[in-house]
Amino acid sequence: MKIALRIEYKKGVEDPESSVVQKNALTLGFDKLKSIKIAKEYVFDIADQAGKAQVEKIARDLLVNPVIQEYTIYERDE
Amino acid sequence: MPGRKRKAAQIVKLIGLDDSRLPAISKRMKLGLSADEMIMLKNYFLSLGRDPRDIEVHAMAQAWSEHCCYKSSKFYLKKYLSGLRQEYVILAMEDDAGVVEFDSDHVYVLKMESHNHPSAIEPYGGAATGVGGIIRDVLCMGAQPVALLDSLFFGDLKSGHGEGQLDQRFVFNRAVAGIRDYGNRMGIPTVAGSLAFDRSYSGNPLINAGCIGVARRKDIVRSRVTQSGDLLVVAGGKTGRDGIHGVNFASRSVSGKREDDIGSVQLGNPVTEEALTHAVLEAMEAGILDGMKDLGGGGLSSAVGELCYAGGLSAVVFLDRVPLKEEDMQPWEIWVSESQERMLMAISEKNLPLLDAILETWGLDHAVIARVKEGSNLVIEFHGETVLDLDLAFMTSGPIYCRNYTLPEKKEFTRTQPKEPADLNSLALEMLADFNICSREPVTRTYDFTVRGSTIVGPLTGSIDAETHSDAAVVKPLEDSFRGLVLTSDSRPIMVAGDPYRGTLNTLSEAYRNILVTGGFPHSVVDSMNFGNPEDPGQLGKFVESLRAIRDFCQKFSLPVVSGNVSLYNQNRDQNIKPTPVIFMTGIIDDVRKAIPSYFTGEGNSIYLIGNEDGDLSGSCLLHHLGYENTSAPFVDLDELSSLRKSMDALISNDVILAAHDISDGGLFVALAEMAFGRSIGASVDISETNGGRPINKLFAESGNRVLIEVAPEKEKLLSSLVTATIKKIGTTLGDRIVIENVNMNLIDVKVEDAKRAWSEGLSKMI
Repeated sequence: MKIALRIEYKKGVEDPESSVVQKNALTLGFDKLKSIKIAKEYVFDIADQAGKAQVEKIARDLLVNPVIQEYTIYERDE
Repeated sequence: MPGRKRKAAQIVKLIGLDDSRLPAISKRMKLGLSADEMIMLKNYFLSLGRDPRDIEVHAMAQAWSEHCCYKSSKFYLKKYLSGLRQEYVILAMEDDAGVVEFDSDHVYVLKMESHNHPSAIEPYGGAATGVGGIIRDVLCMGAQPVALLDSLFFGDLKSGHGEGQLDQRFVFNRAVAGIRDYGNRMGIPTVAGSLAFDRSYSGNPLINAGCIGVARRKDIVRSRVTQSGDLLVVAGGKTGRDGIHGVNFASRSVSGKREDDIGSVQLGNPVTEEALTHAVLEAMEAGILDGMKDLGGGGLSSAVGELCYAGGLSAVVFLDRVPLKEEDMQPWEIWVSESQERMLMAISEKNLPLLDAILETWGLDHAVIARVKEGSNLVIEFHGETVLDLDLAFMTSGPIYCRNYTLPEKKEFTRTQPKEPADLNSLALEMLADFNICSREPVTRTYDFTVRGSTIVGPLTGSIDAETHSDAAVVKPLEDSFRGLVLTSDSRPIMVAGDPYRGTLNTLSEAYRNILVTGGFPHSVVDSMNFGNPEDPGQLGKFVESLRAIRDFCQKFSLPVVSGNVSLYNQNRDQNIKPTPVIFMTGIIDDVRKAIPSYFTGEGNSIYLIGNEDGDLSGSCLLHHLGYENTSAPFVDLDELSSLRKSMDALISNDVILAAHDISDGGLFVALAEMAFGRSIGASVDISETNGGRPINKLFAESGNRVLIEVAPEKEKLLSSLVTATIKKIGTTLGDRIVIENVNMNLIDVKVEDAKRAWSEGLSKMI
C-alpha cells in the first residue's frame, strides 16, 4: 500500500521559492497566475495499516517543522 | 477598493479600568509590557482624554520594548561606553551602524546584532534573517557590504533535547544552514566568527551576526530625515503577518511551547535583498536619498518613528498604501509587522521618479507611504480614517530603568588544579578534538568566504589540504588600494561566567591579539552583549561588570566603541545562559600583502613565546573539558598587552615575523598544533624555561597576553633588539612531529598528521 505525506508551508509563511517562480513566470508572459504553492510529497510503501501510524510519527518526529509547516497524509494509487 | 470589508482599528478600553486588570490586557494583546508600563500608558491616554486604538497600543508596545528602546541597558551603556570616542570616528552609537574612517576618502560601516530568540524557535529562518537584518543595517548607511562575521553558541550537542525542545544538533545544523544560504546567495563572504558549545545555551542558542561595508565618506546616508515635505518610500519585500511581535518577544523569555511563538517566525528571502542592495547603492550613487533606515525589529513603527524623530520632524502615514502579502491585514498588523527585506527611504518629491525607475529596474515592490511634516505628532491614516495620532517624543523615548544590580561576590581567586594525567599524549589529542577547540572547517567550509574576490585571509588558511584556523580575516575592500580590514569576532563565555570583569578583559585581549598577529593594528570595537534576565539583580550585575571591562580596556588602548547590541532575557526554563559579551574588533592593515600567516612557514626557524605566563587554568577549555564549572578567570595585565603591542609593531615594521598566532583556547599546546597544521610542519619545543608550574598548566593554561611567533635564524639578532616585552625562545620548526619536552622529560610526542586528524574530526563526529 502506498501512503503519501504532503508537506507545505502554513498560510502566512512566505515561500521565497514560489515567489521567484511566480515572478519569472509573469516575466515570461504567463499573466493568468495568481499564486503558486510549492509542496513536497513523500511516498511510503508500507506493509499494512500499522505502517500508516508510523508514517504519521515519522512526519512529526523527523520531517515536519511544526512552526512553519503543516502536513497531510493520504492513501495513494500505485 | 469598493466592496471589500475593511476592519478599522478597534478601541482598547483603558480609562476607568482598574490598574490590576491592565497586565491581563498586556498578555492578551501580546504586548510584553509590565504592569507599571501599562499604567504609564493608561495615564498618558487619560491626559489626552480618550481611550487608545489598538494600533496605538501596539505602536507603544513596540517602541517601549527592550529591543527598541534598550530600557534596561541604556542607563549603563551611557554610563560606561558614551565617553569612548576617537577623532577618526564619524558616527558612533547614533545611527543604525557605526561609521569609521578607513582612508582619506573612504569609511567603513559596521554593526553586529543578535537574533537569538527567533533562532530558538526556528533556527534556519531565525539565523538567515539575522544575517539579512545586519546586511541592511550596513546598507542603509549607504555602504556596500563587503564581509560577514558570525559568533554562534549552541547547547551541548551530546545532550539531546528536553521536552518540547528542539534537538541541539538540529538547531546547530539549521542555524548554520541559514547563515550559509543567506550570505552565499547575497554574494557576501562570511569570513570570520566563532563557535562555542555549552549546556547553558540549550533551548536558547545565540546567533550573533556582524557585517562590515565600505562607502565613500561623502556618500553616507543618515538614519534621519531633515526635510519637511519629503516622501517616505518603503521598498523591497511585501509586508505580511510574519514576524509580528518579534521585539516584544525579545523582551521576555522563550515560552515553553514553540507553536505559541509562531507569529514571531520569519523566513528570509536573500534574492529580494540582493536586488534591494543593488537598488539602494544605485540610488545612493545618484545622490537622491535624504535619509534611510532599514526595517528590522519593530517594523514600520520603529523605522518611521525613529527616522522622523531623529530629524526633529514627524509624518502623516498612509498605511493602506503599504504593499501587502495578505489582503485582510489589520492596520496594527501592518504597522508592527517585521517582514524582512524592507527598506525605508526619504526622498524629495522631484527625485521620486528617478527612485521609482531604479526600483522598477530591480523588480522591487515599492510605495510612497508617508509625507514628512513639521510638528510633534505622528499621524496614521487608513483609508481616510485617522487611526493613530500620538506625540512622537513620548512614543519614541520609552522608559529607562535603572534597575538594582548586585555584583558577583568578591571571592578569593582560588585556582583549580586538576590531577596530572598519566598520559599527556592522549589528553593532548582529546583536547584537540574538544568541541570548543577542534577545527571549524565543517561549518566554515559551507560558507562562501571568497565571493567578491576581496578575501585575502579567510577563516581557513595554509596549504591546500593542510589548512588551519586563521586568527583574523583580512579583506581588501577597495579595488585600487592595498589597504585592508582585519576582522575578528571573539567571546570567552566560560571565563565571563567565572568572572564577568576579568572574562570580558580576556575576550578583548584575545580579539586585540588576533589583529596584532595578523599584522594589523586594532582600530574599533563593536560589542554584542548577550545576557540573561535583567530583572534578576545578579544577572544585571554581570552585564554591568562586563561593560566596565569594555570601558577600561578601550580607554587604555584608545579604542572607540562604535556600535553595539544588547540581547537580554536569554533564558531557558528560568535558567540564564552564561553571560556572553561578543567582541567584534576591526583592525587596519596598511598593505594586505604583508598579512602574517598563522602557520609555520618553513623548517629550521625559531619559535618564540612573547608574554608572561602564570599557569592559571581558570576559565580554560581544559577545565571545561574535565567538567569543572565557573572556575573564575585569569588576571589580564593591560600594561603587558600594551608592551606586546609595541613589540609587535616594531617586529612587523622590520619584517622579522614569518608567522604568528595568539595563545587562547587550549593554551600553548593547541596554539603550537594549529601553527603546525597549516603546512604540516612539526616543531621541537622545550618549555623548561616557561613559568606556570606543572606540565598541564604550562601546556593548557590560557592566561596571559601571549603570542607565538616564528622567526628565521638570521633575524634573531634584530629580534632581541626590538622586543621590550618578555620573550623566550622555546623551540624550532622541524620534521613531521610535535615534540614537547620539559626539564629533560618528554611530555608530548605526536605526529602532526595524527594531531590534525583528531582536530579535524572533532566536530564532524558529532554532526
